[in-house]
Amino acid sequence: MRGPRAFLRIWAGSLAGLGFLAVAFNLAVDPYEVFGTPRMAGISLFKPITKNHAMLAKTNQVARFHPATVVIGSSPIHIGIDASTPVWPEAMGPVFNYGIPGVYETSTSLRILQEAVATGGVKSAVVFLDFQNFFSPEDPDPALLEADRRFRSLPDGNPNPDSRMQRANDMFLSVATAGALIDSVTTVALQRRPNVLDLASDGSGTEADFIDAARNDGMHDLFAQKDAAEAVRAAKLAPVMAGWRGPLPDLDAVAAIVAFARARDIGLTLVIAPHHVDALELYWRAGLWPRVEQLKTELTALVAAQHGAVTLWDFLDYSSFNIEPVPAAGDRRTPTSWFWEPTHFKKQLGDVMIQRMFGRSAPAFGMILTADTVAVRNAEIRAARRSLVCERKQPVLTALESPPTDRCVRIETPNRPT
Amino acid sequence: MTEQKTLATLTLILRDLLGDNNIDLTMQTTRDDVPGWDSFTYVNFIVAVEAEFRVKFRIADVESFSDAGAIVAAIAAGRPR
Amino acid sequence: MLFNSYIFIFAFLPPVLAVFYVLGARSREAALSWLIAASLLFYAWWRPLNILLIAPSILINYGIACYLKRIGHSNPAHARVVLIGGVVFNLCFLGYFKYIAFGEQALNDIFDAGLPLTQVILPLGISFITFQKIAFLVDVHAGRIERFTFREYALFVLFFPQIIAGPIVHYREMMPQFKVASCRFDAEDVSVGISLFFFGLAKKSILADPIGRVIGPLYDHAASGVPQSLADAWIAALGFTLQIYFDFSGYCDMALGIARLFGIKLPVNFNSPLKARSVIDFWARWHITLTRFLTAYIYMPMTLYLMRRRAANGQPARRTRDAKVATFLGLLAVPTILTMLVSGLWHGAGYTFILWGLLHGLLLCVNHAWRLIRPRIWPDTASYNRLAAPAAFMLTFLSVVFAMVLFRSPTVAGAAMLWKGMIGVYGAAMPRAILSHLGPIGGLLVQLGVQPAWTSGTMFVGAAARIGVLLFIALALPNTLELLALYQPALGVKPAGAPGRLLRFVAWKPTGTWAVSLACVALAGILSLGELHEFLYWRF
Repeated sequence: MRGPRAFLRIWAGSLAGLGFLAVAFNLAVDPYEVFGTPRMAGISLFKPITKNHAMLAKTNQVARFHPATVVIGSSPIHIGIDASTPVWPEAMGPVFNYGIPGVYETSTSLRILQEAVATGGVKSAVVFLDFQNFFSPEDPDPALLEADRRFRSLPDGNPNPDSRMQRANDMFLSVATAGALIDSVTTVALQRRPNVLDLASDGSGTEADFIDAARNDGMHDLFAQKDAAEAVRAAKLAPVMAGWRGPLPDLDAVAAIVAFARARDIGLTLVIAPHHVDALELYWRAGLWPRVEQLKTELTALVAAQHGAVTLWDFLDYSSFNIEPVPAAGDRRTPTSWFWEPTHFKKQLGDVMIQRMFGRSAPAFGMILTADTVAVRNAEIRAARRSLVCERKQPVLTALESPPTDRCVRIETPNRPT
Repeated sequence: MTEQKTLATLTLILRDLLGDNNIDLTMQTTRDDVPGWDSFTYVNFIVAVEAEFRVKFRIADVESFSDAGAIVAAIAAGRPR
Repeated sequence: MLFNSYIFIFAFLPPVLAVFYVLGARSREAALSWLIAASLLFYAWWRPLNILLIAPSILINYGIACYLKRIGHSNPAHARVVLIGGVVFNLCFLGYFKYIAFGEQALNDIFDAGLPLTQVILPLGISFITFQKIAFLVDVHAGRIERFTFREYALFVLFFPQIIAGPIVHYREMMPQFKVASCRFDAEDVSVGISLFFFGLAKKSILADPIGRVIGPLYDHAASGVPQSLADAWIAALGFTLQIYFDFSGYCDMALGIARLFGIKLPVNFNSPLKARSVIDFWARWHITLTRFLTAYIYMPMTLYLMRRRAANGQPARRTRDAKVATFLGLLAVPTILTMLVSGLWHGAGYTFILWGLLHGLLLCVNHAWRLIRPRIWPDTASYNRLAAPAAFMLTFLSVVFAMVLFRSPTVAGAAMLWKGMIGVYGAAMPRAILSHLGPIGGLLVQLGVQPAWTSGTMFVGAAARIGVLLFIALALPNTLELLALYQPALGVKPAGAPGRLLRFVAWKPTGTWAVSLACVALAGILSLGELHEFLYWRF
């Protein structure tokens, strides 16, 4: 038997050696994209674990990426906008997708824009707006605020004194914890799976989870599940907005985004994100459509005051893209063209929007809102909806079998661009 | 009375209390060594010993007797000669 | 400062030890003074105010102890009054900080008194420190402590491995060790010390904390009035029992290990309590030094008083086995239940803790009653011990698990809700995904009344698997005291006869295999100290 001195020597040596190996492994796999270690085929080509760490991963990615254009929004943007799709005009590149999945507030977009601009080279920003956020006067989730402790600046624009500490902490925890080690091993283990979830270096997410869900449950279930969730959300928001006076909540957050972009000379495009007709109908029936129109009007007024420096695009309508039919229940083969479910559009539709906003030729989808056009646009959408639901041109509502409650009065449908 | 005699009496008292005739106390026996000699039986035992030897232990001593030998010693110290 | 923190493991302990050894090579006095200073830093780290709160109590107790020592032999009656005064002072000190708000709350609840609740800062470890000082005063009064200097007293009170959460040590078992401690680097002590420490760290951060995160929401749901079905209620009850088991076991191991690095052995405090075959046995294995304290200073004096009174009245003191129920109640139940009530209250100021204490008091009474009655109905002790052991173990285990629900639940109503869930009042439900994966067995379960639920199958399986592994470790594997038995890991551990074959094979020795294994355990423990917390944004 060896003595206790030898025991201590071997113990200390093994602990140091194993510890070094664990740290080196985590550093090499880099499961959260914190370090930007070059990806290795079969080991770290795909980063599935970033799914739960999007803010951490993208905030580290963007600093290395040095984008000229940054796309900002919530989960649909993370998944549906491809930062490296060839439809982006060359002049705008490189483009970074800073969409963050999850519970999301408009004010978060400003924080993310500030963080992206802090990397130095951002010339233009495309900020997608979720209309639902404007119907909820709640403060941002505290957990979300905590997440941006690592941002370089504070909300007021001053440097964030905690940023360095938080980033050092991020790095430490990404290499020297059991959780990171498990995530690294999982990352390596998932590499050979077909359709593995990933986060590209330009911040673009993948549709892997939706592809899996569509194959396993069919598109109908995907829509039905989300319809149920959105119905709950609409029912929660309706009474809140019923007595609401004055400008909509979150409008000040957009004003702050506009002010920030103009002060930094950033070309800003605001985008009212598209939703499938299932979701639109839910909010219509909850009595919230006048609020949608109010939102468009108020946003237009805000943008109009910038004298052309900011563009406002509106994709929230009853056009042929948004009303595509949902395959029947039990059908696991038929794909949809534009939507995964009522709030998440497919990359194809993302490409259409990018082309429409920044390209030369594109199908007529959505339009720029100006003080001259917004009233007509609102009326047109009402008419399009009426003709759709009253004439039942096609079955659109998957989870909502009951007919709409408002009376169908046939009126002249104005010509709309389709 | 010799230590051995005292110890033998203690053994008899404990056997009686626990209904176990296999118990044999030594000077080093502790409570942990005797199955079932829990704190209730222990206090019971102490009171029985006090009655048997006509002594009265101090509470602080009862709490801290480390083994049977300590009890024997306390009996020897506390008995009127 | 917590033992399971980076700052303690990397920034505090190594330099404190290094200076201790260096000083110890020249003078024990200097090394021990350094140990006192380090202990003060350790205690003050989280909130320096703690020191100011606890210091007056430490000084006043020192004064009382000095006075007791001087007058002890010359004036016993006076000394007795001083001792009682000292104990009352300590209890009031603890009472004010720990119980004033709860007392006011209770008055409000019972009499609708409408008292405003007093907010006080609870000094760290006050429950442990207070009990330890009471034991010290009793020792001084009993003349068991011949001489003590202020430095020895301070070292006894402040010694950092045990200041925050025990073990509750006696002056008489600590000071002789400090007096002869080498205060120098000793490879064997350090080997044993780090082994105990890292076993403890791993228990805490790998075994206890993760299951705590699983069961936390279940108790919150139950407390907010959401019924828990059979499986969830049992996951909550078993999960928490195992969480607190490994949490406390890990803490005790770490305390033993750290003390050993300084060449000091602490008393054994935790000895596989879930292996107990009776509730009495459970309390002789769970928080042993607390049981020792409560038995010595509350239970025994009370029982002694009652039994002596009975003896003085001419009742035979012997043969309690034949006692009538009424006698039994008076002699046993009152002191037992009162003692456990104090124990409950000591663990926490709240109704749930009081009930928990009462419940254990009741269980102990039933246990004692059975010990008295059993020989009459099953006289053959040997066959009883052999044949009834499995049933005794199960009954004890279930009792402990049921009671533990009270210990964790935020409210009594929440605990009641979980208990009802555990006996199936709210039905049995299982995640749909699991039922469908079980095939025909799943079908059978549904026939038996198990409801499919839209809950996470992964979480369910994860919790069940974790509980299974933890139960196996707690019930089937040798504990750290047994593993390290050859090296006297704690005071009061006796070799339990010849070790089994498994134990002989795995017994800790300073070998290369153990060094590498322990390095793995230590690394896992250290890596589990931190976690990348991030809000889960995903919402679909």
